[in-house]
Amino acid sequence: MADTLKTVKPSGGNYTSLAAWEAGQQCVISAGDTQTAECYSMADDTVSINGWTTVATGYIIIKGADSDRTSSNTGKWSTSRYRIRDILVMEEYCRLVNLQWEIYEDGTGCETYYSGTGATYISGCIFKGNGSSQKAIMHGSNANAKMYIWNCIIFGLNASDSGRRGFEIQSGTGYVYSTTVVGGYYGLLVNGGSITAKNCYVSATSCYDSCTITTCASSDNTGTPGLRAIAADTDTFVNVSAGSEDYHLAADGLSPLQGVGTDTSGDTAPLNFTDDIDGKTRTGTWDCGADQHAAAVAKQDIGFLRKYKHYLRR
Amino acid sequence: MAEILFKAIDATNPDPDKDRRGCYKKGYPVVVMQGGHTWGTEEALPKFIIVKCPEVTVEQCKQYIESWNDNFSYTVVSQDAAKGIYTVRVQNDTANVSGLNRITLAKVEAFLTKWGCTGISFTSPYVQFTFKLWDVVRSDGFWGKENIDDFASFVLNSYDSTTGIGTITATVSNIPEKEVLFTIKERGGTLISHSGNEYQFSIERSAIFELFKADVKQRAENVFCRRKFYVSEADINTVVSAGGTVTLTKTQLLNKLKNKLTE
Repeated sequence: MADTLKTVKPSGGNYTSLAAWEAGQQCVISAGDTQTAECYSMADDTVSINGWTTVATGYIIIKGADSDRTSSNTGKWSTSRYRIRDILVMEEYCRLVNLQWEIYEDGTGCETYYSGTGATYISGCIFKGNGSSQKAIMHGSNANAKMYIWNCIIFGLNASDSGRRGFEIQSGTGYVYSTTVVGGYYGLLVNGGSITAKNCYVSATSCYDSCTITTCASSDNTGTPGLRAIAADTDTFVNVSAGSEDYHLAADGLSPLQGVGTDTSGDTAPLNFTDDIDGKTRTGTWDCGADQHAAAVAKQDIGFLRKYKHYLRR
Repeated sequence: MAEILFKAIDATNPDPDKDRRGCYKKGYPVVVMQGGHTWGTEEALPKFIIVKCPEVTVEQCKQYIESWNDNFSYTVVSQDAAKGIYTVRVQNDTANVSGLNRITLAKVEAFLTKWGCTGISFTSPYVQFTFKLWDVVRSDGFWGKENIDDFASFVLNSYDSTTGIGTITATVSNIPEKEVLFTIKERGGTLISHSGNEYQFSIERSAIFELFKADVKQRAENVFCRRKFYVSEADINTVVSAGGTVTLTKTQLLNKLKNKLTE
């Protein structure tokens, strides 16, 4: 068993772009082995993962460097961490971890097209659209392939154009857990295949389109009853202003997404995660969205505090 | 000023299709950077060589790192507009001079069948088929669902051959209402009325054909080869012998770059 780890850095690393890493490392990965690209703070262009052989236990990992993560730049968009424009995944068993996408005009952040029946993992990632970007994530692979998305944030997609979509599945099975989507005409969209969503928050023109949902909150009326019509505003998040978005839950502990989720740590791997986008352990009653608020508050107390939040926030 | 990273050794895959479309071969350009770029420790021999070209910009070089992709084009050979029936030919515009990457029946037959096309035949360099609007709007491809006949029945209420607008009633079972409404909208249709499991909508013929082409583009068109341009193994060997880095004029670079489409 061997993990081949190479760094992608603007200087002082093994490679200076993910595309060069892919060209230099592409191979047949044996069971038990992994090929990892550890990506450091820089703006990168585009890469196509293609021409590899992977298996369920021998896979590709593309991850943001842990050492770049600080309390001030994690869980929200940051130019002090690695950013890429798009990744085209044409091989199964690819894991994308703690990355940031800055989706260019009319582009899609991450697209998967492969003939195998394996899975793609996307966790701890942030997708930033520019208003004219098409889709953050698109899964269009084999009808038996799977896409797992958790602890991710998608924002900045145009809400008035029906072509703008947070996550669209065209075939196969998608699982979206503990993810925050703000923007886009469609938040999570089934256009073939299926999506199971748990503990998500979506603010879009049409939030959950034909998805199977569990404790999912929405800005429209497609979320779970009791978790509908929740606006993406500063009652819910730290900052929603364009250019300085911070989709951590409101610091006062009164976000309507706090303490309304479901503990999914008993779900089948990889959905048995127990942390949030910051890497913080989810304790107490789980929250909806990518962030778990730091202070666990008893559910009955949240209800009381929320009822009187406008007095408390004065 | 640009610097181009070229692959100096082959990557290989036992699957010949993956090997061609995915693997970087010796001589393939990989990335282009600004002159003076500080390359990584692995972006050097034995895996790569670097070509410096002060006379060209990064933007000018980007075309040389493009993949060789399919690009289908369609020609309507004959039509009966009154009945909404078209005979269409599709071919691949990125077949090379010697015929490599010409369209094949195997490449498109499943997609055409899924879209309700009939009379599918192959006569190099094209595939010809019959595209009946009425068949297409009742097809698995249009609805994005396998065996749509098991879920829906359709009635053509009217078709105006002048405007090309048809009005259709779909009676649907076991498909969520949201999914049906989304599909009608996504396919360019306009919902006229909806009652229970009956959906009446209108759709214009050009919208159907454009949608069909877009779907085939997305699902059937692929990367044929990882790179369209390359330099010869002999040229790479020369640079390897010289230590892995060479500076070329624009003319020298263009003379060494070969285009697979013209071979």
